[in-house]
Amino acid sequence: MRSSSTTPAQRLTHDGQRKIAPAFISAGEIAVAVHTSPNLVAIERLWLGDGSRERLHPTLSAHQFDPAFSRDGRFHAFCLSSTSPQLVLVIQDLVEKREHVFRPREARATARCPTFSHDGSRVAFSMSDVSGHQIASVNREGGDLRLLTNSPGLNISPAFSPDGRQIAFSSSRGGDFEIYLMDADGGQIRQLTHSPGLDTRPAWSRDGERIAFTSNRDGHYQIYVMNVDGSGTRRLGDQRGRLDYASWYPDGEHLLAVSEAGGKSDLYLFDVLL
Amino acid sequence: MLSVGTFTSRDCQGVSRRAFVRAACATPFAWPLSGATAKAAEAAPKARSVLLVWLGGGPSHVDLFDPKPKAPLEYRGPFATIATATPSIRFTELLPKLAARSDRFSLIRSNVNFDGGHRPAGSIALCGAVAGPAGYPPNFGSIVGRQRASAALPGFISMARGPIGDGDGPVLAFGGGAWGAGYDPFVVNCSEQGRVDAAELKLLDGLTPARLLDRQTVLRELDRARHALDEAPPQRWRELHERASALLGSGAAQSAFDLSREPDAVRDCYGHTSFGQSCLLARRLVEVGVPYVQVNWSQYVEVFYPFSDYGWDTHADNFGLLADWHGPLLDGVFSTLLDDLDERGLLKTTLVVCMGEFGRTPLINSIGSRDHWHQCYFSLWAGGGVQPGRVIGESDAHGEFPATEPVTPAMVGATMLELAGISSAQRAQLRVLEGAKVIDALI
Repeated sequence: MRSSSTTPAQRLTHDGQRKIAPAFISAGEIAVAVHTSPNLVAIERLWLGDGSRERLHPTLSAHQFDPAFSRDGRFHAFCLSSTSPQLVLVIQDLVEKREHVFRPREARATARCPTFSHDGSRVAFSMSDVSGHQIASVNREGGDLRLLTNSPGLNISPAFSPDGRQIAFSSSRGGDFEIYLMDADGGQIRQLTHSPGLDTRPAWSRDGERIAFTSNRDGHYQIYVMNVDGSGTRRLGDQRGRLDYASWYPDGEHLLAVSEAGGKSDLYLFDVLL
Repeated sequence: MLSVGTFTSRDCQGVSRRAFVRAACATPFAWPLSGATAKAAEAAPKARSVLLVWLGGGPSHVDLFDPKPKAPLEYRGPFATIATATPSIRFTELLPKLAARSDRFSLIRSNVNFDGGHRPAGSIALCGAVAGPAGYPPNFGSIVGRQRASAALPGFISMARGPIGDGDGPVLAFGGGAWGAGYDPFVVNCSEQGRVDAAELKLLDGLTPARLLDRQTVLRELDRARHALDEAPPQRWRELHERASALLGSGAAQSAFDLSREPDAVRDCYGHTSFGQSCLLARRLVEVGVPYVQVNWSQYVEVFYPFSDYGWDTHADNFGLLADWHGPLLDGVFSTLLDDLDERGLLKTTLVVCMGEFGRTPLINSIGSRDHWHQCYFSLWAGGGVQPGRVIGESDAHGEFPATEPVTPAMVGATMLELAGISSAQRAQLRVLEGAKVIDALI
């Protein structure tokens, strides 16, 4: 394993507020969950052109996490805190202005990390429910729930491949968190990483050939990139402090990530020369 | 910088915004009761200050400091374990920095509490006993504050956005308890930007910082407010006036609250979160001699409720939260705090304790998370007379119960007070924690 060569990162934000799980809306817009105050995590939209920001859901006063968008930008999913520890999955049709909510059955269960299939017809997510912590999917109306994993341990952070045929995810079924790959229907599960540390949050490149992920295998959280068969793992440069939440820029040559260098949590764009 | 209401006292000259000053009467400072008791407490304590890092909500002992890698999967959880600086002791992978510093602190793995609810358990953990007919006994900080308060600073400062507790209400033993509100902590809030908001000094609308520095104005305004209060004898109010005025007028006190005086590199090391900057503020407060400082991880124990602020009550998504937020933040900030205190020579004279009200169920629940567990949990102890690098007590194979003598909240309190120079005789005189054993293995 070696470090990939990178050019200096471009810092996109400077406020230092904690940021979680950024996602591209389009080539020029990012959505990211931000700790806007001690008791509110809100999803914000950031325009790369001028750096301006605004709340994506300004009327919501509850915590919002894990923004995701369909490839055509029409559908948006995120997780929303409820009146209990429960986190529900919200799916919005931004064109028709319709909204659907999927609520896990258990009152304290959570839906996290939604990801759209290539055609936007299905939303996979991790769900802690009566069957444990599994990967599941629903249609974009929040119905037709399908359990895609059914294993011991925790199954989290699903990411649909760009062609919609596979889902990468993280699972502790083998003892600690590793990255796995499965068919979109839950079949043919293959283990991609075999590190002693925690490997999680896989993110597909747009060409479907590489997967970026977070690992603490070198002592603290850093971002790594591997080929889709698990070979050729490289660390994204040599960053000070935690580097986490990788998301590929649509051009496939840049990675967006949250860095905590200098004790401040900000978005950076890395030029990945692999 | 210290903010009183909506303004900052450092820039008080010329600040024209209105202060939101409301009665501090429900939570005045904790003062020494008499010269005699204060003198008795002067017997060279090992800990000049006590700094409690309070992890409200119940951090999972199995996923942090007491991993059980040989337990079945439904107990041990998903985290790998890592070696520490203490031979044969392992933490989970979420704590690499603290693992590298395990020779700077001691770890108790056999704490127990007597209630499984946040508010009663939090009260018991902070005062050492269950409620009696007169309510809960005073918080450990109220006792230390009463015995050890200095002339210009409160004896007990607690950092939070408001009363700590859960969605149902505050922890009842957060302050003076049966001794009355006069021994409650002086509460300040420290934001992620390091802005310090002294809510206790929001006395009366219209009272500006400049006027607060005018003692006669303070006295007059507080006298007016006093009528709205209970349990406020005139003598104590005079003391409050003097302390409030001294605090605001004292350069040393104001300086302690002013985090902008810290180099950026130090502030960056603590991290720009409320918890990180609060720990930096705590270091500054013990540096100027505040006897008891409590840093609260959050105001509320809850994580995901709409009002909540990421406490440790991880009923849902325990593992994701610990890996994502709680673990790295605790690891980074507490490591920095220990380093900073050590490098400044303050660790020798500052007792640092880190704990919550209980742990979490070793058996993973049906939704892949962990619930309350008061039968066994951990606490960390450093500095102030504590022998570092020790592990006191053991839990059983699954982390469910102590395998050795349980360490009770009363023992925690007795040990804190003993190290702070409040002897068993003084505790008996004060009628607090009478007969409670000191954890000798720590000292």
